[in-house]
Amino acid sequence: MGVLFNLRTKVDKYIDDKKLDGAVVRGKIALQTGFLLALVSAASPDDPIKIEKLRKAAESVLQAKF
Amino acid sequence: MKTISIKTKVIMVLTFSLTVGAAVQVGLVRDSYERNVAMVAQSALSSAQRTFDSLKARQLSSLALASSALANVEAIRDLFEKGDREALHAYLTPLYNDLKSREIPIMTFTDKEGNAFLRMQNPKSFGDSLQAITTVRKTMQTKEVAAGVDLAKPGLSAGSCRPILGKDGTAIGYIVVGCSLDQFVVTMKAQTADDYILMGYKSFLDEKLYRNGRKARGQPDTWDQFGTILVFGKTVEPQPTDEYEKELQNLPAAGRLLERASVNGKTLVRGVFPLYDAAGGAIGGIFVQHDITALHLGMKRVQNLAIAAVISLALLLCFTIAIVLNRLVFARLRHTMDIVTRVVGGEFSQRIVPASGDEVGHLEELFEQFRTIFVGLVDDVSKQQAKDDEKSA
Repeated sequence: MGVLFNLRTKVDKYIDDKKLDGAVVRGKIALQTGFLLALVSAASPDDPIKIEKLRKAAESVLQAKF
Repeated sequence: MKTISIKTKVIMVLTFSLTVGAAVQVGLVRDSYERNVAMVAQSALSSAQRTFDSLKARQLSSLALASSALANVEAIRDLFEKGDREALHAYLTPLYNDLKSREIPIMTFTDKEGNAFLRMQNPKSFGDSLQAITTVRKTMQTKEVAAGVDLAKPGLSAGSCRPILGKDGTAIGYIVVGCSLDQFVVTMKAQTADDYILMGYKSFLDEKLYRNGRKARGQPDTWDQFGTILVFGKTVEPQPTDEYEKELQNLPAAGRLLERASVNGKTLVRGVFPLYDAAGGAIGGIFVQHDITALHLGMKRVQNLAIAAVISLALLLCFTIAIVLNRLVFARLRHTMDIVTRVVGGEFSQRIVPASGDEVGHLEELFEQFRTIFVGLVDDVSKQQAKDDEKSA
């Protein structure tokens, strides 16, 4: 438990650090993954498919390695 | 094609339509030009034919008058009847010189069998038969005055023949007065400003006589220039490449329009009308050249203007339609997509406000309703998730 949430946290931090437009970036990632980042919490189960989708979407939108 | 934007597709369709429109317009301009050229060419041909007929009629009338006057002079008749060639020549010399100065250089007397008795233009030549000359033959048959164009051994001429009547009223001989047709085309050019080439069939001529005549006048020998036909008068040099012989074949009485030509940067329309002798037989034709360079350049200018106008219109329309489409459709769609992205990204407070009641406005309204439902669902799920988290804690 927590891999998916950790990944979400990393993405949030990257957005904050780079001072990006959070709503737009998260929206683009959500549209690629098919689920809302806002609904990923610490209690969210570590679905490997969701984790992979989030990683790929984040890397594609942010052009960074996660 | 699927990846091309609607804006590009609309501009492509518009450009295609305008190009087709331009092509049609250019086609119409060309068609109109062709009709105008055909009309101008026909008009030039008819005008040339009328001018020639009018000049010929005037000339033949003068010749008929001269022959009539001569045939009725008693002294001339008496000298002719006596067969005194020298006395007749001496008597007629002042009168002949006067007529010659008025471009009537042919004055010939024949006996009643049509044999030359006296040629004022060549007194030493007599005794030969002139029956091959249509005008003479016609007068001998009808005993009436005849006038017309003749293509005979010496060349092409217009002439009038009338009988010289003896005291008993019978024909004792004939008098022929005539002029060359070579200068007709020069007079026609002065009247119409068009160029002419007068051609006739060589079969009516005597080659030796023709060649000697040209040589005596210091003119180049053109006997072999155009096959079975010969140039008798011209205001412009004939083109060696033109098929004059072929163009004279089966020529209708009203003449015929020929292929357009470009010579020394000039655009010319051409035509030819037939030349008939006194008996109505075809003996050649007159080629007409009318300069339409100004008309041709005018058409080119209109065509270029039409193309430039269509291109300008196409650019202006593309630009205007692109701006209008962008403002009415694409900018609003982009704005809606931006808000949907932001809402999905967690900024639930963003609202889509329809800008107008048009089709895109209806879509914006639909998206706003969808957004409201979506935000409500997310809110419910968030609350449920918070409760689950509390329970599990």
